[in-house]
Amino acid sequence: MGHIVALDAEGHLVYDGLLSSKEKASIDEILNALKEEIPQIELDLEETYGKSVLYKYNLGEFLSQLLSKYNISASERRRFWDEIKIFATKENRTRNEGANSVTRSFYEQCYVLSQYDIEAVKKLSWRQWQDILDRVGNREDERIFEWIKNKSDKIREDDWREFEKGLHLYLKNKDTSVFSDDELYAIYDSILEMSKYWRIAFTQFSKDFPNSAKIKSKARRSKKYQMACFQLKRELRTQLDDDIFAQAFDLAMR
Amino acid sequence: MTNISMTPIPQNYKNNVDWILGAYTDAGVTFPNGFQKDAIQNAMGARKTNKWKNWKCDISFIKNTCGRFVVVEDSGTVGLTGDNTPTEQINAMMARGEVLPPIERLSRFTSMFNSGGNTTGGGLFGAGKSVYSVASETYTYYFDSLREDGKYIANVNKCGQVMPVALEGDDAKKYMLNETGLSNKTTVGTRIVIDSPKQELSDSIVNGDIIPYIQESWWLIIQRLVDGAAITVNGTPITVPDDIKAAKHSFELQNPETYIEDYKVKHFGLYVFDNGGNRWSGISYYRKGMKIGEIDIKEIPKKIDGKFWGYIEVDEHWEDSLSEIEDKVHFGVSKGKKLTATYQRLKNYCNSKFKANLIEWGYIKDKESQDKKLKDELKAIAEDIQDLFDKLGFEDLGKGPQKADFDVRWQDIVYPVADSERVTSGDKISFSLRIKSAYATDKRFEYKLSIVSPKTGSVISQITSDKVNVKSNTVFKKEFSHVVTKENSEQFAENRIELTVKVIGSGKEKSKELPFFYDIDKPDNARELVSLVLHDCVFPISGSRRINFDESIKNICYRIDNKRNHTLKFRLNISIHNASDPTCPKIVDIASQTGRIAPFEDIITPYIDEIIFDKTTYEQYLSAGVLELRARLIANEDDPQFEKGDKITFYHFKIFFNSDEKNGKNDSFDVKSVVAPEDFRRSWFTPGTGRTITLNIGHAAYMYVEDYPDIQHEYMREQMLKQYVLLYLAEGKYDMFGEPGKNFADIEPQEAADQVLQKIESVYFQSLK
Repeated sequence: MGHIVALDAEGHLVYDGLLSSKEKASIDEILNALKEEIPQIELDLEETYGKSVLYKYNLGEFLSQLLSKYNISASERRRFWDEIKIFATKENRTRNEGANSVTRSFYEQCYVLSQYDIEAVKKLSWRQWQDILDRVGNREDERIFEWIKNKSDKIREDDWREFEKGLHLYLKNKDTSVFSDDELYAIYDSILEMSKYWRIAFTQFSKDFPNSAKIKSKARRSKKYQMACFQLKRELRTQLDDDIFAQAFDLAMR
Repeated sequence: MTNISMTPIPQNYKNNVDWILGAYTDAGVTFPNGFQKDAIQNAMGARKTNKWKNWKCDISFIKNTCGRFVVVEDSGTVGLTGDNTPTEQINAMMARGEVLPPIERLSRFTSMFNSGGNTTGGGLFGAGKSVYSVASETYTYYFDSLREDGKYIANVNKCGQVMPVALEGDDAKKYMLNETGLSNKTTVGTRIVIDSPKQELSDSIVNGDIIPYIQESWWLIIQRLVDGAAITVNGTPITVPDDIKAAKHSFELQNPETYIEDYKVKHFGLYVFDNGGNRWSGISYYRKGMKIGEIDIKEIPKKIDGKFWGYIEVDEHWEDSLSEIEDKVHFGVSKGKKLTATYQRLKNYCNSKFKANLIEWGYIKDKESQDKKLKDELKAIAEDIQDLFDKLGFEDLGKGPQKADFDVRWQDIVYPVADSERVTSGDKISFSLRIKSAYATDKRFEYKLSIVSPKTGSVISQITSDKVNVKSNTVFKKEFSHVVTKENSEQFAENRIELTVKVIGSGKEKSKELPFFYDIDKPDNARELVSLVLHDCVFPISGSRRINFDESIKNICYRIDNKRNHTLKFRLNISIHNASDPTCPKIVDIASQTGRIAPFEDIITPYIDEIIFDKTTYEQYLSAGVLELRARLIANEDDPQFEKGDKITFYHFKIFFNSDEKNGKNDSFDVKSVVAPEDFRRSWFTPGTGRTITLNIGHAAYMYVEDYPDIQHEYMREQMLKQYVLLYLAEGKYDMFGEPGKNFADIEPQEAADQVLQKIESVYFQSLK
């Protein structure tokens, strides 16, 4: 332990605890290795995969080896990723990764991605993966990856964004551990259908009423639509279907 | 413009001065006592300087051919100085708003409401010379004065009528002799001769009853009177009784003491008489050497109640602020002014000195500090609040295992119509009661089944009442039924079957309720609840929640209470989380249990034998810190309230991993108090590990109530209730907020704020029942 370094406010290297010169030399060695290896591997992967999701997947696999090699524990991971980000990579990734949580770290997300089945990974774009990796609750039940893997078609970016929001809303008050695989997949499917319905219905609405002010409040109305869908489902004790979508859309666009 | 002649508005003189009598009554003092204070104060105010040399004030009773008179005469003063101004001219000056300067003593004495320029001494707003009028049955007093300029003057006030100009020289002498039978005053000063004095007053002068009043009011001044100075009654000097300080225990402040900045105490004395030989009692404050009123002293030990006296004199600055809150007759603090800082400080100083001395003298034996007492009180309130929350059906916030000595439950409940609590006349509700005793010995229990009105809390009828013996670790169960009639239940209202079970000889009591709605539908706002608490959990060290690597906790089980008329099919997921990480990530799943609970019944979940905190698993996440044993209750089937998959509730229980528990308490929250006068908040909470409610005892609002134990108790209770409700909010226990079917987390901010405030009000309201 204690192989991770950070920077203080003045840009000084900060080591954990008080180290002997030998320990310090060992840490510096790791740091130098990272400085050398990370830019190289990132360059190589980009040449092979471009900036695609497979670039991230393979980078994750490499990072996974580093965790074992340097014996980095789960609690140290975020700081290890920060060390790479600050000292090693030549990439300039500006996405806000938050201050404490490991969840939104780019390298963590690559690492987590590499733990999943590659067939599932290929089904979504990196942007779509980021959505699901950002929302821990949405992947608390890992059967979602199996569902993604089994999807025959790629999911549109806009449908996916609505799906993620809808799933997040649904899971706020739900724990899916009580559902069988079939029940759960049916729920995922219905939420995806709910998202598709929204896209189509909203596009039609925009054509029918091009001057309506409601078009400008799309995000708010989308949330209202999703809430109405779940409320109706609850009241009617039924699965989400086109009737519910239609009623909810009307309610949302009032 | 026409020259119109103006005259002062006619006034009813008697009514103008009679307020004094009422003021004395209000202050709880007799007329002679009030009279002596005002009369002597007037004489003191007439001194040429602050020195006492040759100053005298005599109060006598005289009876002669002209009548009965009380005479108040001062000497060593300056007399009624100033011009002998005609009253018409004084009136004109007053009409112009001019103030007669203090040197114009004669004019001031001959008019009313002209004591301006004297900020804190006699005459500020006291009875002044009007006291002489009310002392007379005829509202008449004569006055003469030999002034320091040698001039002799005399006048009279007959029920508010005076001679326009005071008589001077021989005319004055002749007038006084004719009217009062008294020869002219020969010492420099003023003499007031009250015609036909009230009997009560003249008697007190003749028999000396007035003397103790003078002694108590003026002893501080009397002891300073030397060089021929004196207060006399019928010519006899009043002395300070020599036994006033002959106490078993006495304390006198040796040097002035600064209490807080700008507030200095000049003198403080306390005298405790074990045998009750004290002349005076209570601790009084004195201003300008005159006793004003008693200080409220709290916590007087019975042994010395009424057997001590004391006094305090403060510096001029503090006296000035005290004079502003004084009542009109100088016998205490005006109504409603005791909350002012100036009085509170005076009181706090006296109380602290009183208490410190009593501890020193052994009258308060336990010597417990105010902080300790406060803490005990807070603890009692905390327990009270937690009881209340239990009664109101709120889940607790994780105060630990709840395994009790005995357990009371409903079982086999059958309403006439499934999933409905509506009943009508003749309907039968069947149920069983079950008492399980976990006592090590056999116990006798008393149970009562009654029908109560939730609105009023009153008992409408009784179903049964009995006593049973329950052997150690056994269960008593009995079936009952209630047939609803207009005689035993309240029609068109909610009724409750209330079960109370008492352990005979221990005072412990538990109750359970079963609602039914007699010819009305269940209102939409009726609370339906399922609660979850940790029932048992055994740690390696009893009384501590510490766990080390490779140690284990054992016998973990939960109690789920289904307080609804629907069967609950549930799933309970149990896991361990890293609470030292801000996102509290899951480390490991422990168990998942499913089950079914009948309406209004509760169950204890199957025991989880052991959870081992093995180094290999946990070291990855943390080496020391806080873990959480989390249980989540989920609906496993649709029912009228829940949809399958709904998170019903949760229970988070902290475990201290390779570290000691910070507060060593198993309570829902710890209570702390801080002196933070600069902080505008009266109280606040700290959620999470070491959950705390803090009371700001430096806040002005607290200081107002701290000396009134009942009010203080209520104040603290209200603050703690408020913070406890907010703790639920802070820790995500939204179930207690909002309305059924609505998720609190989803509602608009305004509505959410309303509901939180309403919850606080409602809990407080319930607590007062």
